[in-house]
Amino acid sequence: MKQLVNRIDQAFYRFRKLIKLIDHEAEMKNVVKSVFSAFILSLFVLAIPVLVIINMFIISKLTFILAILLVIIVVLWPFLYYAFYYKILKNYHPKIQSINTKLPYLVESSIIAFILLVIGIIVLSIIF
Amino acid sequence: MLTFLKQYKKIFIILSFPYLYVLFLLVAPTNRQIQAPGDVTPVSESVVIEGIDMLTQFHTIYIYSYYPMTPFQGMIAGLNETMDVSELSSVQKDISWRDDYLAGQIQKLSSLTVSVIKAYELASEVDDEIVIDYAFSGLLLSYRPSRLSDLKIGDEIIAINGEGVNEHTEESFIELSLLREATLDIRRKNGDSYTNHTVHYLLNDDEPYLRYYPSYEINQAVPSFDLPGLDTVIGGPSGGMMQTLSIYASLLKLNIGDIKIAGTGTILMSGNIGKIGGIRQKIYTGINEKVDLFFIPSAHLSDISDMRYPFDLIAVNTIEEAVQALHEAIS
Repeated sequence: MKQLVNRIDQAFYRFRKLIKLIDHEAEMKNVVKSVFSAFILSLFVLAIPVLVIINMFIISKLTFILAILLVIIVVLWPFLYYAFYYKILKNYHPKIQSINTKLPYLVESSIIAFILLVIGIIVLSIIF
Repeated sequence: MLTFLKQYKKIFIILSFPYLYVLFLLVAPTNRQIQAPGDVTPVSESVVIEGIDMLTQFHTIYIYSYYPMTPFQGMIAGLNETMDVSELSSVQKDISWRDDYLAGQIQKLSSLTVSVIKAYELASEVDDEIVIDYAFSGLLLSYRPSRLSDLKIGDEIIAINGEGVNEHTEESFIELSLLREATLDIRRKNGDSYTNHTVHYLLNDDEPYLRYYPSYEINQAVPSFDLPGLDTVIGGPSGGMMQTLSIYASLLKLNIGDIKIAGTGTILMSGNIGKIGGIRQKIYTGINEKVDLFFIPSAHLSDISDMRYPFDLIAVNTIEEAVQALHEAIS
């Protein structure tokens, strides 16, 4: 148990260090551009599956399953968004290429995904 | 972003054509609507009567109606025999989604009010402690061409060309309303208060008539009642017959037994049961929901002559016939 706590603590320490490094290298203007681009690209990728699900809501027997699928897609969205974000940010700042962005990517995506999952479960429990 | 796009240029170009095609299938509106089976709703959730346990066996049915339909939905409907595709009516082409929703709520309000009145009247013939006193108070506007923006869905018409609702019977006032040009005196609800307005309208030759639903004021009801069903998003008048039967059976505490009763059909103050839209989808919903007894208006029998269903189907013309059929079914 203590080992696990230590590992989490170390990972969190590394995460903060890596974020500081990335923040140091990245310019605000390019961060804004990366955020905007990643947002647009991730929405484009997920638009088709989301629209397919919305169109299929006419089948009343599938309503519950479709609603769960919609929540799953919403939960997956931050992972896609941050993948695009770091990819584009590395294009703007080649120095970041050498920084390991896997840990910040996983931590930030997981936090947002968890929040969206909680909201999704609350919405599902209200509707059904 | 441009560097990123250049990096994967080939993939983007190859994927863009199928992407746009699929996007078109999923979002392009057509001139058609799709009707699909929906679900049943217990009437006991829509009506509360003081000192009475509402019977839980009675259900109204709603179906899904989507317009404008997308090409992808058309493909789904083509593979599914329980769905129907039809052309949009001139009213559907003209009306906004908001007005359509409001119209559904107006129809539900009128339908629930008529149901309560008819059920109390029918029950009072058996139990003279049940009393209802009401008065026809006007016509609720449920459709007008969207260009007539001075008229709002839900406006209560209290006079037409200077002739007030008090000078007419319900029938003669409804007849009077079928005009292509008129001046209307309106009572409009704004939150908890009402404002009065006068609006003149003239319909073009290609425009449909204005549509109304009767409005009643209930002065006294014993036992008193409440209508929580008015707060739900499901709208429309098709639950009239089942609401009336449910309130009637609950007021008289009829022993219905462990059966699931559902049905569809509008109700008029005359007691006539009117036709509804999407009867085939409602029958399919009844099959899916394992209903035991299903009431429909007699006028729909020819629409479902080729269908097979596992429940007992009762076709009626009036609410009196429906009450009699209910007594026979539970005896």
